[in-house]
Amino acid sequence: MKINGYKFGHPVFGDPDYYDFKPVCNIDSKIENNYFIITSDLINFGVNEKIFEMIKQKEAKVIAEVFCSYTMFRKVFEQDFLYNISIPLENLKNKVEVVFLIVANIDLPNYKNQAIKKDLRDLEFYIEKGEILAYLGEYNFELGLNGTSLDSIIKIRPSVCNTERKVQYIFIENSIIIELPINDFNALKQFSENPDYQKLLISSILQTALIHACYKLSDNQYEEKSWSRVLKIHWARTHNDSEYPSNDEVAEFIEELLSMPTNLLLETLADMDNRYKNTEFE
Amino acid sequence: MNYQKKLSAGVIDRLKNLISKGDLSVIKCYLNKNEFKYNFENNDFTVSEFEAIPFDLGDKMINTFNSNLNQKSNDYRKSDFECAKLLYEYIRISPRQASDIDFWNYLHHFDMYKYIHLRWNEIENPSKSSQETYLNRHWLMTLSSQKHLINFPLTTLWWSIHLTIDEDLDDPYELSRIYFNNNRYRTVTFGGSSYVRHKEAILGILQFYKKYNIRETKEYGDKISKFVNLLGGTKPLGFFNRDWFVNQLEMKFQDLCNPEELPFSFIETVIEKKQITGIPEKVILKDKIIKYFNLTENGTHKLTDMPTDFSWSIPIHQSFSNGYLLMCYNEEGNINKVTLSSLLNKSRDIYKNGVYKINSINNLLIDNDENHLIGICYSLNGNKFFKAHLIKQLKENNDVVGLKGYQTVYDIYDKIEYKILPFECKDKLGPLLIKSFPAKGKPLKNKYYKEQWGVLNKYWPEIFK
Repeated sequence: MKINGYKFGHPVFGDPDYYDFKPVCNIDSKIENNYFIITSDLINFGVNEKIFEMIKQKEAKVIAEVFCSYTMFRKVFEQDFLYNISIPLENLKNKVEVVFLIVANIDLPNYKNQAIKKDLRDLEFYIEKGEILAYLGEYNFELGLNGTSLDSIIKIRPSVCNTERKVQYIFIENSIIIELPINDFNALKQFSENPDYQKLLISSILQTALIHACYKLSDNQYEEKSWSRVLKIHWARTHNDSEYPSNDEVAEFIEELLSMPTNLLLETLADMDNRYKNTEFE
Repeated sequence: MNYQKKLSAGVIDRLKNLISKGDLSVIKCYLNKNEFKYNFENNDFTVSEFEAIPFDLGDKMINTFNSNLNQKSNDYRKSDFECAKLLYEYIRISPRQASDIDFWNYLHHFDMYKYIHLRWNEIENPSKSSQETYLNRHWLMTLSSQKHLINFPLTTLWWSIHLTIDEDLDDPYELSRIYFNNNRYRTVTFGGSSYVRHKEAILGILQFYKKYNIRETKEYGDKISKFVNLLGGTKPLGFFNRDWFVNQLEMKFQDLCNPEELPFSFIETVIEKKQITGIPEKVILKDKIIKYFNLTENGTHKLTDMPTDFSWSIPIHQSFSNGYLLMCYNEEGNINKVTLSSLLNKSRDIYKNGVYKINSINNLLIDNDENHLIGICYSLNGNKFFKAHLIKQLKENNDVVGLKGYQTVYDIYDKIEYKILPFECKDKLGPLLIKSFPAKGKPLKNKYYKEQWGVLNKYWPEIFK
């Protein structure tokens, strides 16, 4: 089996190769008093009483290995039957990755566990201290974002020096900047007060900017920009198998993200057209 | 408080864009090595949340660099190390602050601009890259993940000290100095690995270098790094302390270690009878011999005060009177365990049937610690196999001398040997220590256990001849 870079030849609780069920502990996180805090419920081991007993006997340890690439933070926190970890925020930035595990606290020359799949129950395994006995999941926590709404990562602003009637999309800041010539920007401000036009703007301006942005998600130079991180969070909510959409998936992703802007465009146009043709009823 | 200035977000991206578009006015700014004369706008600057660094730190860096540079060989290692120390001592900030690229980029273009040109002085004709790439790699930091922090001019210095400083040492920079003895260690070999973030891991590695005075070569670094990465493939490395890392490296790289310094305390204390002479190889001086256990091949046995001409005549020292005797047979790996106290309590002059049926004695071993291991090496057609069991798994059978005891080998073999191994072997032998007696031994030719063979070779070198 393979978990986040670890490879094992022995049963690891939580891995479907060996077990039909996963342990549950409901991980949660918060920021309080300049600390990043990770908590959990009591770990529910289900029928795996062996692991529970081993922890009680100090033959096994509940741990969380916490990583932050942006501050080179890496630390194992040893816990009891639930997680309660506090890390000063001054040690963390952007993203915290955590693997929750139970490891052997001593060498176990003849490890057996009756809770594993039937075929493997009678096998004995030589487990060394520190090797993983149970996998409780891995989580990524994003830090330093002002929310994950699209409002927080898209800005439309006037360009002072842009004399041509040309829109520019700028991706080098934390937000996606849609820069319009000053006259166009002022016109847009007026249009946006009309509810119908607002809907049209979503498909004509935001959709285009977001599609451009999605094609840049694979470019490392943008990986720390807030807009890139937020788009990846949205993508991860429905897709666990990749970090960002492939080129073929971009259009569909943006359609979902903006709640079907093309349909909205057509519906709005139809509605406006209908109103235009039936003015006598108004 | 006078807060440290830094560049605003996006400024560096803008400069980078201009350079990529071939804007000569910007490139020309970088070619001026004394000052970066670019027309920044007011809103291109903001402030950090910490106090400004000393105004003359850039000059101090230049002086330190020059005074430690080996001009003849163009060797930067010492000057880099001294500059890194200086930078770290004057810029005491948190890891999050030290990962702020806008702060470092500010220093790249202001306080440390001249120093960077002095140290990385190929801007006109870079030897390994284009001018644009050279500029991007030395002045224009756009990302702050590990591979960038350990590669940019100032961050590599600051972070390399941060990762290797050990405040518990008399000289906290002692291990950092080793780290700086090979640039590749900082930027690729160790610095590029995720385990470097676990301080105990990198300090353990450097401790290993220091302990065995290992040269900081690319070859050794690559080998050690690869090995630690392999360890991290099966275990959460953050769980282990530096002693564990040193220990793992000692086991793996015995060729790099000075053998005299390895801990073989067991060899100094073991008492055993190896051959018919009945004279132990090593004994504790002044440990009185209280009796000799004598045994003939037909099973007659007796205790005497002096050695006899019996086939086996083994001294029992005072310190072992509460220990045990292992009667190791040539057949089936049979081992019978008898407590020495029961032997010493025997009152008759002579006993019979002390050897099991048609078995023959291979060796009689005496020890006083049940936590030790019994090593078993058997061979068939010249191929040797080894395994070990915990001695406490062998129970006494009412202390009857002539019993078969436990069968420990179920394979066919030509020859068998036994040896008591110390408790400290337990962890080091890994899968060679087996609980189940019917389990087969591992072939000594199996390179998968190379690490364990290395350990075993220290305790039982004879079987490898």
